[in-house]
Amino acid sequence: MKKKIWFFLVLFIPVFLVFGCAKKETNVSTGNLKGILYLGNGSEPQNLDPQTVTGVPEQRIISALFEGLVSENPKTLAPEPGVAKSWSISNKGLVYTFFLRKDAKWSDGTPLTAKNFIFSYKRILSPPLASQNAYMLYCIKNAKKFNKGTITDFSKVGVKAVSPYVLQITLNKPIPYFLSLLTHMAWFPVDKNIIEKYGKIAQRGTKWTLPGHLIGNGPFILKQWDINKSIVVVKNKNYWDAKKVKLNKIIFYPFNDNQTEERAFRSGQLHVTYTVPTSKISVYEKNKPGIIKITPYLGTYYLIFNVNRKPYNNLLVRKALSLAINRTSLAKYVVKGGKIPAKSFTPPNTAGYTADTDLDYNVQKAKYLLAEAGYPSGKGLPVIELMYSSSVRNRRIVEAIQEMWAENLNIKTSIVNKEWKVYLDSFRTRDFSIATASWIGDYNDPSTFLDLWMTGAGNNRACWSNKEYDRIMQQASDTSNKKLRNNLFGKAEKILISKMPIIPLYYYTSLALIKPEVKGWYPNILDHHPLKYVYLESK
Amino acid sequence: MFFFILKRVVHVIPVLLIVATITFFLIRIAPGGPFSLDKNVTPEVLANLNRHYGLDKPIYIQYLEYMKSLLKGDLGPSFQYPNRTVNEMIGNAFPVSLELGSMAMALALIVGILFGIIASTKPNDLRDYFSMSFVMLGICIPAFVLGPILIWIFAIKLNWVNVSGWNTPTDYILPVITLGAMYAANIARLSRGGMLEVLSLDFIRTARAKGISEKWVIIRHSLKGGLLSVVSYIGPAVAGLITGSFVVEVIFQIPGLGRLFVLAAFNRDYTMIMGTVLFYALMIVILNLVVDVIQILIDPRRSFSE
Amino acid sequence: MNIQNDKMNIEKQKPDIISIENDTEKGISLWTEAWHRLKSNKLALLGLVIITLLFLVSILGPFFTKYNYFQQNLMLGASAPSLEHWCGTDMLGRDLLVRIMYGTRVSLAVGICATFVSLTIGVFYGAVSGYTGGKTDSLMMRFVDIMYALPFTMLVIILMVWFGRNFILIFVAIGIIQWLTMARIVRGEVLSLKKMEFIDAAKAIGLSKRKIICRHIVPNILGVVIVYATLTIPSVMMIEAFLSFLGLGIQPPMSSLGLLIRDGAQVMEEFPWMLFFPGVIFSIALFAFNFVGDGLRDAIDPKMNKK
Repeated sequence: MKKKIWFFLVLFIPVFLVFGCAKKETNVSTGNLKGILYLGNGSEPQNLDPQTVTGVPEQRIISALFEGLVSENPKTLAPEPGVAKSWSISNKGLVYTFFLRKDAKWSDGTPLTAKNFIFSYKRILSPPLASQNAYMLYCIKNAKKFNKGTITDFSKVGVKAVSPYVLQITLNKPIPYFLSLLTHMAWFPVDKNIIEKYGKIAQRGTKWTLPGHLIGNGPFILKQWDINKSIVVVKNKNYWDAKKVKLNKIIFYPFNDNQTEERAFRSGQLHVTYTVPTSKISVYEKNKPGIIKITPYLGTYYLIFNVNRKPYNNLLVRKALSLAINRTSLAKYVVKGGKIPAKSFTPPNTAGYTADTDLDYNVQKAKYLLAEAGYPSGKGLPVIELMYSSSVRNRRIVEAIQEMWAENLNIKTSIVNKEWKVYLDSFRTRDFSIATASWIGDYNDPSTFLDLWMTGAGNNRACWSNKEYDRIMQQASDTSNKKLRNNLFGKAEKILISKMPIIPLYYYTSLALIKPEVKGWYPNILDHHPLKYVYLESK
Repeated sequence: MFFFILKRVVHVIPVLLIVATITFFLIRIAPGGPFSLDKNVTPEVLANLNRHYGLDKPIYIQYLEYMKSLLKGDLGPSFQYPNRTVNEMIGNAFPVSLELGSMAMALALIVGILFGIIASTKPNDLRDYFSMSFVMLGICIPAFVLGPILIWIFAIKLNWVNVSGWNTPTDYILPVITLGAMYAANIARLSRGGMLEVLSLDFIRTARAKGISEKWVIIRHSLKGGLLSVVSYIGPAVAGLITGSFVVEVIFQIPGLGRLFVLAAFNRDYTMIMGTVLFYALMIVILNLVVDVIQILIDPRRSFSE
Repeated sequence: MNIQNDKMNIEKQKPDIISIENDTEKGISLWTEAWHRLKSNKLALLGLVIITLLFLVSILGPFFTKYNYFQQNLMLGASAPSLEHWCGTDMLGRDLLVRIMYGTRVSLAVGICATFVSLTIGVFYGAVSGYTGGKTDSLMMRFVDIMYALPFTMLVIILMVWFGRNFILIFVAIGIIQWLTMARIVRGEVLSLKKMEFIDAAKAIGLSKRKIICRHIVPNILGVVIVYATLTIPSVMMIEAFLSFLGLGIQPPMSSLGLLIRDGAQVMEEFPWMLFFPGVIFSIALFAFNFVGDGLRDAIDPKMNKK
């Protein structure tokens, strides 16, 4: 027996010595020297076609590979010249004329002209492509009709190539935030030659997005794509602003697990990660405050009712449930990361608009309202089914709410965990009572939040309908006077909060862990960090 | 032997077909489809998506079409990653899982058999108790606990290896240990049991009486018989290992088949699910056959005419 | 995932005879002999003691604690073990000790119930298949082969998703997967029993097949069945932990050891007690069951020559 112990020790010691003494080069140290950024990107991108994907991990990579007419200032998010070097607005805001750069090129050197944009918009609006973001282009005249198949002649749609480098877009009605809309990837141009080489214009899932095939017009080109392993992009020499781009290469790593991603960051495998497990937030805040970035994010986390189901069709019940939730506790102790308890649906200071509503925590009033609704001390109220989609954060939130309702109102809640796909499906089939939900703004304007609740809106999952609300929102969309719009939005929001088809809980913050060598990364409310401006400054 | 193998191969085909059929219908019955999407899609978009993937056709036609392409060896495009085919993705992920799995199995065999033999030489003694307790850790600590603990000790605190990834040879160590632990425990148990049984047989008594040293008694005379049950365990175990362990792959960031598979189930990536299920079934069936053949070859009590 | 019990003892065509008719020879019966052998296995005894303790504490314990398992204290959050909370608190401020006790209850319940389900289906399936033999046996085993070829994870995911996350469903789902192994083992045993003379005798006196199976075959395979049942419980508990890892296991606010461990592993570095206490209990429970099962197996097999 003793002999065996010695045998094993003798075997293992040299092995350990070898490892212990080997000096390890981390990604971060190599990256700093060579100008390579290592980025943790969450889940593996489904595709890199700007017109058929919707996820944030995809969007981060696509913004490095493509560029739209308009790009964003990395600090203020204000529209800046992109492919279009200037533009003019005419006809009371209905017609936008864009003057494209003559030195704008595709990554293979071929010139980028207005005709490319016509092709791209035709593609995203073509029904067979079934793009989920096509609705973003509905502001263009006749675009919605073309996308629904009502008209089949694309020349009727309000985009025109007036000359090779002049593009004209005609809208249905004036939209004050139109230019910021253009920074969304749905509006990015795609190369006709490459797409038609690998399939038809509106054919989904062709091979044009594979490395070696994909042609973009952005600051980087796609070099390598190993599924579940890494995506490598390198600097695009043919980019018109290549001089400003300082990084040589970016490597995106996909992760399925928050803990794994954070560990990779901590051990120097990544420069940047957008995933911070809740339990580690306070650790970083205390020990490494310079590394963790907590920024207000344009999103709201809320509970949504199916207002057609009893007893949630009773306004008093909904209000009682809302009053019994301690949002401050929830935000501070359960969710953490600087989340702000919600007072409205639209986050404060969205393009200068802040709602004038309030959401109380008042247990006495909640009890009173519940009794008024016919359920004194919670008696008679059927068991509440609170649906949520699997994630550790969601689970903690619903557990906390379940307990708050039990303690404050003496009612029983059963929390129903549904997998992501089933959760989404339940909304489609209206098979839920109350559910957790979140909405992230598509662009920096209150309408992206308040449009949701109009009657018949695609994403109006509460099945809620209010004529007055619709009327006000319609008015707001018909005007381009900022003050008037904000005024109207305020009115609409008051109705929304008073009728409570949803219970807003908190406003989002975006979290990121960034190594100090990373510069050119600026916090903003949309969490957009164009990689064009990012660079590494080693100490 | 040839006819034995042939008979079994012939049996394999209907098994695979039935597995394919059951899976095909089972996954379509499950709620939540591949296109349940974050932003509500308009009915037109949904209809177009379904049309593109052939999901708008009646289910028996979908089934027939799938079977037809299956016979050609084409597993179709992935629903989740539309610009890749299932064949391609499995082709990329399988070698990784194969590497990880074989190393884990090798480790499990070495450690398991060693400890099992050590334990069996003095049953119910301290040596037995300690060896078995040590290997049992493999069955008593879940991989998703063992993995992070090993990472914490060796990668974070001691900084000897990377926390995750599958690039340099040192990356292999921790995942292989985590994955192999459970199998090592089972193999140890099996070999201990097998050795104990063989060592109690008469011919061993004879060998000892003849004066042969204990070492040779173990190595030359008992090993083959004692390890028989390990052989039959290895077959399905290898299939499980090779087709990837989801937990280990997620924790160590390994682009293997296990991860692909479980994520496909959650994403309702129908074609990928079918592809991985069939692949797994094929592996199991082949490995079972190999194991059976080996067993018959080693065990003098059995023959191919069974 | 769990194939440990698979073909473990099929090769051992050991006869494990007990005649139901009274033992006419004096001396100890097989069961007493087995008990004696078991007693000499210290680890197995330790295992039995541990299991008993776990049962007692998990069933009676919550009556003696100050807190209950769902009481939250959001402001407190996760706190280290103290006089107030012997095992600390979790991230919602719930007392960990009482949650561990409840969790043990749940895990043990899942383990036993799933094992029971697999036992019931497996024993009868295996016995019928083995005894009937011939084409029926072939067909039945073919079915088992097919079931084996279906990946367990996917089946469970689909079952859980289809039927919702019901507490009862979990052990039905697990049991449905586990019966395959039991069936195979039982069939192996029955096949060897079939060749015994006493079965011929029973046939000769004209007993119906059903009576033979129930009265003669089943009691004789009881030993093997008990051994494997004891060994199935820990693997079921492990499977439940794996399901929790996937998010498919026990639903809050109920907790199981698997769920507690899963949460604990996530915050292992910041709040180590959340992993340590449930983890230790879980591992000890599994150790205990495994040792008892191994001990039982060693004890019941008369061929092993123990000095």
